[in-house]
Amino acid sequence: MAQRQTTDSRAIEETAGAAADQVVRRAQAGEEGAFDALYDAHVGRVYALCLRMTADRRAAEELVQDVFVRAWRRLDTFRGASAFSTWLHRVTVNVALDARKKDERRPDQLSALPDDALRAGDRDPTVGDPGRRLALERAVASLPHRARMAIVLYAIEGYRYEEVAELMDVSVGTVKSHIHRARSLLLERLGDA
Amino acid sequence: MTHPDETRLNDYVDDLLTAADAAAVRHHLATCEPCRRTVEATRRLGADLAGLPRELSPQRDLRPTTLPRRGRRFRRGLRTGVPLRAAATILVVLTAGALTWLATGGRDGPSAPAAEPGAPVVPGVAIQPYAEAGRALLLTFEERRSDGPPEVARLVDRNLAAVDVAIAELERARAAAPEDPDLARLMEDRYRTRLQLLRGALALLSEG
Repeated sequence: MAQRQTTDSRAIEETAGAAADQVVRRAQAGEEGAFDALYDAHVGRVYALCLRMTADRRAAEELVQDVFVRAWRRLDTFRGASAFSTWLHRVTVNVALDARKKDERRPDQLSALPDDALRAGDRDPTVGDPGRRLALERAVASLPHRARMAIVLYAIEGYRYEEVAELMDVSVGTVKSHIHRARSLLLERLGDA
Repeated sequence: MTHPDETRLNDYVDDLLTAADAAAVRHHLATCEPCRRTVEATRRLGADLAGLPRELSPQRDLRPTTLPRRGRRFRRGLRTGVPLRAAATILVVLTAGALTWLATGGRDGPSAPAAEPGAPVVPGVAIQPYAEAGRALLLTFEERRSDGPPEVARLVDRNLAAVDVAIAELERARAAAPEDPDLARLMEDRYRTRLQLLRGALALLSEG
């Protein structure tokens, strides 16, 4: 039974992956409906990352637009070595970091994220308590921007220290400093310290 | 009692210590409740962060302003002085010309390159060189896009994307009617507009 379920799950994943590859190929061929489908499939993930990196809903919406425009422009550079979602995720991170680099003079702002900006798009976040989840999101949004970016990339998006360092164009030591600071501030602001 | 510093405790949580150092920290934690609470809280925080939803729903539908063919508003004015305002005007004029021409079905606006006197005009012959030149300029633009303010790159991206959508539509039409000279001429003009936009963009970036 377990083996059949594993086989079924793999078949489903392979089918979904093959279908996704086909949509990407159609989009690369210039079919607008296909790119619409890619947008629908990935906008939630892109928006979540942009919102957490910027802690600003309007800025996040701007970045989502920039991400999909850049993806549209560079679609023919996607060769399928990784999943499209992985490729798009990297585009999103780069767009967010580039935007911040160009906007260094903008002071950090305390989070003004309304509760409904944090509606989950997926169905089963593992942080079960909605109150805890909201407090956590707000606390992350309130971090200084470099600490926030580092902790989002490392602790939420799952990049390794070396990868975060490469993305942020800083040393691993600097990334660790940002993350340690982020953790300390989060624990303090959540009352967990 | 000497407590491990913040860096050492964080490295312990992240499994970055050598076996000997990790053992030393574990030995300390066995008898130090404050440090043990810190480690437990940090691990719980890490688990909670990793469990946040990977997707969030935008509060509004971004589709009309996200996909290039629908156009969008431009966020804030240009922050720098006269050269960029002039440059933005140039881009707007080029784009307005291109879009007007698109809206009129190519009946007005840029025309195909003039042929040698007496030489037969072959619609579509310039498509390939225009397309190749455009690809080369696009690569250059992508390398240099960060040389100027982000507003310039965004303006170029969106206007290029609008032209590219038009090119894709024409390609589909030409696939059904490959010998149609009007379609070939329209295609040439679109690729030429694309070149003009990219040349203009690179000229702006060169001005700094």
